[in-house]
Order: sequence, then structure tokens, then C-alpha cells
Amino acid sequence: MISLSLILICCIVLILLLDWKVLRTLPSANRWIACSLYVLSLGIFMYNLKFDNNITPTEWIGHIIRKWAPFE
Amino acid sequence: MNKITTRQIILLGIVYMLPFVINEVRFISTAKQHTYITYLAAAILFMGVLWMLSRSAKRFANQDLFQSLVSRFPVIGRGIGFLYLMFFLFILTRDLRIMVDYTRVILLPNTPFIVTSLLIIATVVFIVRGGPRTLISLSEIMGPIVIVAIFFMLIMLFKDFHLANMMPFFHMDIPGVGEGTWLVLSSSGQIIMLPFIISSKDYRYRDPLYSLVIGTLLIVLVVLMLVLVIGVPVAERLMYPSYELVREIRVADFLDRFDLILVSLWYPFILINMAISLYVVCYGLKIMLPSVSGKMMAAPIGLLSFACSAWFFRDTVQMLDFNRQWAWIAMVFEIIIPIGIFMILRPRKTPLNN
Repeated sequence: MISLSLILICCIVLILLLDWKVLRTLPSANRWIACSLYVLSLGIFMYNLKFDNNITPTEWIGHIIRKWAPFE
Repeated sequence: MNKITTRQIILLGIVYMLPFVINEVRFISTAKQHTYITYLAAAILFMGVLWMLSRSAKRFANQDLFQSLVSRFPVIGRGIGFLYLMFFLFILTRDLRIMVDYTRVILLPNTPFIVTSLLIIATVVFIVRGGPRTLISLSEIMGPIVIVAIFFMLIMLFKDFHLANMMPFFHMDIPGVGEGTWLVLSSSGQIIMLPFIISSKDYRYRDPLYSLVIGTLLIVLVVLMLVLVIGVPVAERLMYPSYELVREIRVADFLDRFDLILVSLWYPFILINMAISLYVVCYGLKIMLPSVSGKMMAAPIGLLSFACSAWFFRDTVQMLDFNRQWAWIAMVFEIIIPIGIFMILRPRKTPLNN
């Protein structure tokens, strides 16, 4: 898990290094949204790797919608 | 988006409709030999939806649907816009997962999933960063090549057609065809993406309509080839039936693996398709939040879709199973909300001076 997460962290750092020159010149909303999305991606990725019995969103939504599906 | 020609709009629509539908001809088990009717029925339905969306877009000169929604209803319009961003983000996430699974099963079984996923998403991000011109140019190159490849397949497989596979031709299982139509609605309906990113001054109703018709006819051609060559009993049990169809092509002894050549054409085609989804999300975000740069959001949203592609689906079987429920969600975004947009989205009446 650690090694896979490190690969993702390296990718994020690399993207930020390359983009920072442009991001600095743009309004701060760009930096906030970009960094929030990176943290969210990392969080989801680590959550998915860490727990075996994690909740799969589509499975959960599928259970709810299944009642109304016209075809089985 | 900059000035765009009719041909480019048609190709953009075909590129967005065709690749994953070809890969996902799995609903053959419901409508059997009449699967082609399901795609035709879905196309007829979306002709109406496209008409409604293009009429709605035409009410606002020089604006696409994202812009007109935000300018007419700043709060509710943004809400609907964000819902569509989530919708296209999910499509991107699902497509990424399909491609990673396909690559790991068929092409690179020993490569770790993270490498495959990151390589695919990096390519998609670079295409989107090139802007709409790159996307359109790539569609213009790869679209005709893949269409020619499909016709080439038709010529090469013609000798293997078994008309008995289409029998009983006149005994149509109506409930099966109905279920099949329900299941293919979501993939055919992806064509509604066009009015969201193309300004209303750049197209007429017939442009996305041609796109829908040509794309559907190409899918019908692939489905007919599949039924005629492989047959329903085998095709409905295959994970990637279209790939097996391509493997049936044998030019000569020295070109036994002709499938690799066709996959090398189809793979970039699918990357462009995924880039269109990412472009729609980035472009929509830019319209919703004007201070945000769409180009700079390509990498963060791409990485988010990469993380979600692993999280959203337990495995490939569950992903296929979810297609049955996904039809409901897709129907809301592809039929119900467009009807609402058609009825409600009208320009503000200017107040009288006196």
C-alpha cells in the first residue's frame, strides 16, 4: 500500500512542480481546487487500498435503484 | 469552443458514441439476434432529445448549454451544471476502469494496474491540455480511420457470415428487445454531450443528428457482424465479443494476429473518447466557476477519476451488473433533465421602458 501511495504522491508532486509556475499567476481558487482534488484523490486511493471491506459506491447505489428497475 | 465545422461536429459525436458501445455489446443476451433493433430504437428516441436540446440552445445566441444555463439561472443552472459534471466524471471513471481491465486482460497481463491506469490517464490529460483544437484534430484523424477499419472488417468477415445465426428472423421477442433498448439507452444517449460544449451558432440540428445516425448505423453494422459470424449463444458469453470478432479475421498465415493492428487503431480512438469526457468536465467547471482555468483542472480531475475508477467498482462483474441500474441514472440526465431544460430554459423577457 505504501509503495503504491508513494507512486501517486510522486505523480502529484511532479504535476504540481510542472504546473506551479502557471498556477501561481492564476486566481487563488485554481490552487485551492487543484490541491483539494489532489488530496481527495490521494484519500480515496489510500482508503481503497487500506480496507478490504470498503463501501463500493456503485454497489450501494445499485441496491437502492434495483427496486425501481423495470427489468431484472 | 472555437469555430467548428459540420464534419468536425459529426466526427466528434461519432467518436464519443462508438468506441465503448462496440466494446460493450454484451446486451446481446436480452434481445438475441434482434439486438440491432435496440440501438435503432434508442437512436430514434434520442433524435427527439437532441431536437429539444438544440432548440433550447438556439434560444441563446452564441452560447452553449452550459453557458445559457448559468446565464439564465445563476443558482439552479449551476446546480444542474454540476450534476452534469458529476455525470460525465462518472462516465470517464467507468471508461477508465473498462480500459484498465481490458488492457490487463488482453494486452498487458503482467503490468501493475497503477502503471496502466496512470499511463492512460496521463495521455488523456495531455490531450485535454492541448485544448479543443487538439481534440477535434485527433477526432478528424482517428474517426475516419476507424470507420474505414469497420468496413474493412465487413469485407474480410463476409465469407464467414452464417445467415442461420439470424434465425428465427421474424419471431421477435418483444420484452427482450424492450429490455435491450432500456440497457443501450445510456450509451446511445451520450450524444447529448454535443450541445453542452458547442456554441449554438456553430451547428444546426442536423449536425448532431447525422452524428447520431452514422454512429448508430456503424454500431448496428458491428452487432450484425457479431451475430452473423460468432452467433448469439457464443457472443453472449464473451467478455469482449467485439475483440473476438476481430480475432476471426485472418488475412493470411503471416498476418494471423490481425487483431493487434485493429486494436492499435481502436485504442487511440478510445483515448480520444475519454479525453472528450474529461474536456466536458473541465470546460463545464470553467463555465460554472469563471475564475477557474479549465486547462489547469485537467490533471487534478484526471487524477480524481483515476482514484475513483478503482474505488467505484468492486470488480468487472459488478461493473457490468451496475449497467442495469445505471440506465435509470442515465435516463434522468439524458432524457428527463433535457426535457426540463427544453420547457424551462428561455431567455429573460426584457422589461418595458415605459
